[in-house]
Amino acid sequence: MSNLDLRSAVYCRPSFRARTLASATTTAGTAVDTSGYSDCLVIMDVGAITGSGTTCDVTITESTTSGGSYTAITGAAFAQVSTVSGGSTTYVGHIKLSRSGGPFLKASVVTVGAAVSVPISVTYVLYNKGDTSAWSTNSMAFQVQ
Amino acid sequence: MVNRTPSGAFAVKPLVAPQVLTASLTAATNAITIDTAGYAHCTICAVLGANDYADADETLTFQLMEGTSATAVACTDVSGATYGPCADTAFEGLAIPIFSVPLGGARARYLSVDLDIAGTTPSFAVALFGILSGPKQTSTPQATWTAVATTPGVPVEEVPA
Repeated sequence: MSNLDLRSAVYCRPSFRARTLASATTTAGTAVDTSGYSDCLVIMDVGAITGSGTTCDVTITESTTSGGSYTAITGAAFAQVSTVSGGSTTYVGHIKLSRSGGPFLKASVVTVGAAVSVPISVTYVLYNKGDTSAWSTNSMAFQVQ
Repeated sequence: MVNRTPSGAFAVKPLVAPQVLTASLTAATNAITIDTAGYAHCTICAVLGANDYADADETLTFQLMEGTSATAVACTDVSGATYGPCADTAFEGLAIPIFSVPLGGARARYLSVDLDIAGTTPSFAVALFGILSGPKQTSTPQATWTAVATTPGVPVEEVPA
């Protein structure tokens, strides 16, 4: 286990700015360049989900160029959130960077249901240097090496 | 600049769930506090979406609060700890570490944030979370202490366990 101190290590980038998704759709977040960083925390904040049968799936995709073609990072997906599972929860995942798929990351958000209402934001917290086995008291939604 | 120090773990804590605010979120309406016990530092991050600046007078200001209980309404302002006002589109679509809070010392255990909104037709998409880091080392208190005889001027050496 290595250790992490974020007192001056927070480099925040919005992957999916705060908003309420109001239709069944697939929405891509903003491309974020992670160059120069070793690790990325992916923080998904979800508010109160409403709408019959509403579900929301968030996966992280990668590309070698900002405007390029993005592919899903295997394993980098949050468990589905839904009307049933509720909301108003913060989920955390971790991605080891320097991946062959490229330094650019995007969140892909898929909503399904009728009368969808999903308040959500996805943020990357990038941190740097050294080994990457820093740990959290949060239960990681995923760990991608 | 990124620093890493050998001081342990971190924890991400929700503070304000994603939502579109049209009125201030005060201590009375923001029921959430972050319990900072056991950590040395807290970074509070705001994620902003599309905001309404149509009348050019809409503003959003963040006020850090603290309290000795988990009840947000009991929190009081931390003097001088404000961020903003966010008053134009430059603040849209951002994730900003708005407060970097060394814990312990004068800081109370629980932190919260007021979101003060003003203007003609305010509408701010926002979410807040905190990242606790630098967990404090803990040890088991020694039940009794044994006096160590010393000679004045001679340093006391550490007693082997």
